[in-house]
Amino acid sequence: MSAFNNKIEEAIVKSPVSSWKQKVEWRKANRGWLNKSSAIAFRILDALEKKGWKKNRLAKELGVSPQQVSKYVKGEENFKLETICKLENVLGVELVRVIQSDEEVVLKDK
Amino acid sequence: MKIVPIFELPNTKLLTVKYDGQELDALETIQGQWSSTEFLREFFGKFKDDYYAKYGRSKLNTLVEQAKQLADKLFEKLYELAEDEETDALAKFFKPLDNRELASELYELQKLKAREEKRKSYLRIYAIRYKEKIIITGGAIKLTDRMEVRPHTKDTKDELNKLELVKSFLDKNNPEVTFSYIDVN
Repeated sequence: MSAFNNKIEEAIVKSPVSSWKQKVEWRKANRGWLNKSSAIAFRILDALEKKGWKKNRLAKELGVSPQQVSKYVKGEENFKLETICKLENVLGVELVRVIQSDEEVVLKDK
Repeated sequence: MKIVPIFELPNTKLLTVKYDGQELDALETIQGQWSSTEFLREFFGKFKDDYYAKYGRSKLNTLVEQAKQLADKLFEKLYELAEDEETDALAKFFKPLDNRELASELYELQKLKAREEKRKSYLRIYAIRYKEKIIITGGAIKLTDRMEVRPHTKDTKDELNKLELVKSFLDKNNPEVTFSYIDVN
């Protein structure tokens, strides 16, 4: 370890490794559902804004911790359908829609 | 302040900084912000006019998703370059912070920046060159051409301060930081 020749470099050797690398790998491996989770998070934040609610209010309404709600709006939560339904009921908005076989998606004009 | 390795030793090509009183290191911090829908929605909600002036109008949810994708790409590139121990591609990926310096002009304790080479590349990672290593000091979403000109560039001003702080910390010739050396453990 001859490259380490001063106190700073000695400290580098002793320091725990950053978790950044694992998170890059994790986001890459889970990109598909993370994109959907982020879209849901955005809708939740929109709904909170419209209702004039803070995250704490939503936590109270859902009966979960404020930390849990923070995870929801970060866009990295792998939501259960049960959680989605609770959120939809409390916020009064549709977060996820399953397209039926006789339906198609048409985007609104900008 | 602590210097933190990104990869398992002996790969110390890429390092970052953990500032005193902070739970996360500098690279984890910008990763957390740039992958957070809440953070990005608030940021672009506040500074969307700067974005529109430079890149044209877009819906807020599009801006958030685009920023996340750009961040993922930037971090994956950084990962790939840092993992490669055979070449100096990582060192070349970081350019001098000062635009007046040539990209080929490399020197010890040089302030650096990295970005994706695309039109919409407003994400910046800042670093210091130190003994052929790159030490990440932070990052910012930069929506204006200069770092000092707009109120939202407070973030980038903070980043300039961090670069200076880390540079001083690493500069063993500076007597004021000798004490920090002792404290580094």
